[in-house]
Amino acid sequence: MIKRLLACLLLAGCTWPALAAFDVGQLMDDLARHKGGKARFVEKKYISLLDKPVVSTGEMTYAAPDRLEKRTLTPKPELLRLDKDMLSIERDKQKLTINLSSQPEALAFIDSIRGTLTGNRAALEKNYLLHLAGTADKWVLTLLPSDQKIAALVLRITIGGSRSQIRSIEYLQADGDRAVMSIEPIETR
Amino acid sequence: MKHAAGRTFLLWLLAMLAGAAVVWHSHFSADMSFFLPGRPTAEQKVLVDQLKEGAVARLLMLAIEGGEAGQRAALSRELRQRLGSRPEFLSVQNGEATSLEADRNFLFAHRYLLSPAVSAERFSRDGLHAAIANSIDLLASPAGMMLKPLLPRDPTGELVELLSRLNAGTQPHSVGGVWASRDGERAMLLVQTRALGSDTDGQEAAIDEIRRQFAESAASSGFSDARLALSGPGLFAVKARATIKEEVSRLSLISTLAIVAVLFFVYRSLRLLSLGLLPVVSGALAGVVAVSLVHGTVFGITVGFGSALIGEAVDYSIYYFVQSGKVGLDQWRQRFWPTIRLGVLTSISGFAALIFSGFPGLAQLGLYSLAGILTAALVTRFVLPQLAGSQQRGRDLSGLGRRIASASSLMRTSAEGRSESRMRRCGLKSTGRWA
Repeated sequence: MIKRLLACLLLAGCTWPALAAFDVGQLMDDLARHKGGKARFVEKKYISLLDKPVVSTGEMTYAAPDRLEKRTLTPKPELLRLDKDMLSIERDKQKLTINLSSQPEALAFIDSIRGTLTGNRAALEKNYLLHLAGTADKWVLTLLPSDQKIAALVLRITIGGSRSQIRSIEYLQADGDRAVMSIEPIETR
Repeated sequence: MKHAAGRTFLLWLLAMLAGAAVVWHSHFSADMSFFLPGRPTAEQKVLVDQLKEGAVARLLMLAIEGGEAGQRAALSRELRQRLGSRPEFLSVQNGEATSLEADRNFLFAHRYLLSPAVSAERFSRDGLHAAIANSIDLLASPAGMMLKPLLPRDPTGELVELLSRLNAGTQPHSVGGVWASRDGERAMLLVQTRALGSDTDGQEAAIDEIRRQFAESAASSGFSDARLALSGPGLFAVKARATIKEEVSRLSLISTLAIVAVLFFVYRSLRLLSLGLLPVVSGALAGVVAVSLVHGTVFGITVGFGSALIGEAVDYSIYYFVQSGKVGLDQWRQRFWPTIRLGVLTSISGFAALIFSGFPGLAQLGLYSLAGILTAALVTRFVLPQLAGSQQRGRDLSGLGRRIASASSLMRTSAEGRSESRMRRCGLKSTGRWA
């Protein structure tokens, strides 16, 4: 009985503040205050064709509002840079530049990260249905694509974080494969 | 004499009619292979083939201007659809995803033939291991998302190898899903014609077809201020040919008129004038016939340049009319014909050297001039006297000659000497009255 009561209290303790005090608007405000920084990432891609996940690591730099850099160090060095709508990928001395404004699907995909980083609710809601759970200290934002074309690629994007810091991003792809990226901020002084 | 004249004229007429029949069935060509070597080396052959058949030589660039970006994109799609269904065009690209699909499928289907990485070692145990490990590493990259569906069919990543060589680094700018210029103000298309780059007629037809289809699609979509800009080797060739044609016909018209005017002023008779032009016209016809019979195809440029080269044949009839009038036909044949014959022989030796040229254009030019000069000389020697009779009278130009001579004597001595000798060569001053 006591056990059950405790469980109830615990449950209430967890959900109550989330429902009452923490909503998407607040999260967006928190995120928008975050002006940038540097982080280490580990990305694991679980692919049905392979028996082990493909792991890559590196560093990410973000400067509000529209500059994002992902520098992969292992297994192969690669630099991915997003500046406004220009996405460039450098690998093995080769450089590929894509103008995202002409690639609506890729833009929607990029906007899931960029919209979250900048706290731009309008940009996120353009392509996704938002669902938030948790507290300000430990929140989980789920993005469900509303556009059929994007849903054909990605079933669900789950972003976890604490306060204004994103700690993990998970992509569940339409073919069942998924990619999980965990992010560890580097304190810069 | 009368009888012989009729027979000669009949023979000449028959020859001319036969020549006209050959010319009627000749194939004339206006392409630039005139300037290309006939028996090229392997390297030259590559260049010649590229100029004739190469993809770049058959490429036309189209730009749509005016209106809104959306209108331009819609017109670009419409135009691609219309042109794509025409047999004149091998491919029409405007950056639409579907327009690239065929190329991508082609590359994928032939990946093992085309990939530069394919070698015996690549399919050894270690080589396969390295290649597949590389493919798996690539999956870690954002680009891997696009490659993942291909991995089971292309585990060694040959398509990636292939595309990385083709990649120019940046993708064309695009607006509304179709290619656009950098400033976004024009929608761009690339069209490859079926006609060879050297086939200027085919290029012209293709360009006309593009303009027609553009006008139709702009009209049907109500996009009235749409403008089409075109560029490409085919367009340059068509424009250059039009310019050459226009200039050649204008200049040759002017020079023909000038020659006719001078001759008419001198001969004062339409009959003598046409007789005077007889050798050169016969020569031009004979030249085309000879080239057509030997080479099969006659370059337009051959006729143009060649006519200038055999223009000296106009002089043969002038010599005849001017000199025979004074001394009579038999005397002329004895005294003056050897001089003309020498001139004809030197010209023939000069032109004969051209026949052995490695450039088909020059060889044609040599043959044309040789046949032309020879015919003109023969017509002057055997046909002209029979037709002209013996009562030719020309205008007395000795007064004009004297005035020019006295005017020139006011100039420097050397200039005078030159002009004197020119007068003498023309037979103007020395002969006095001609008849």
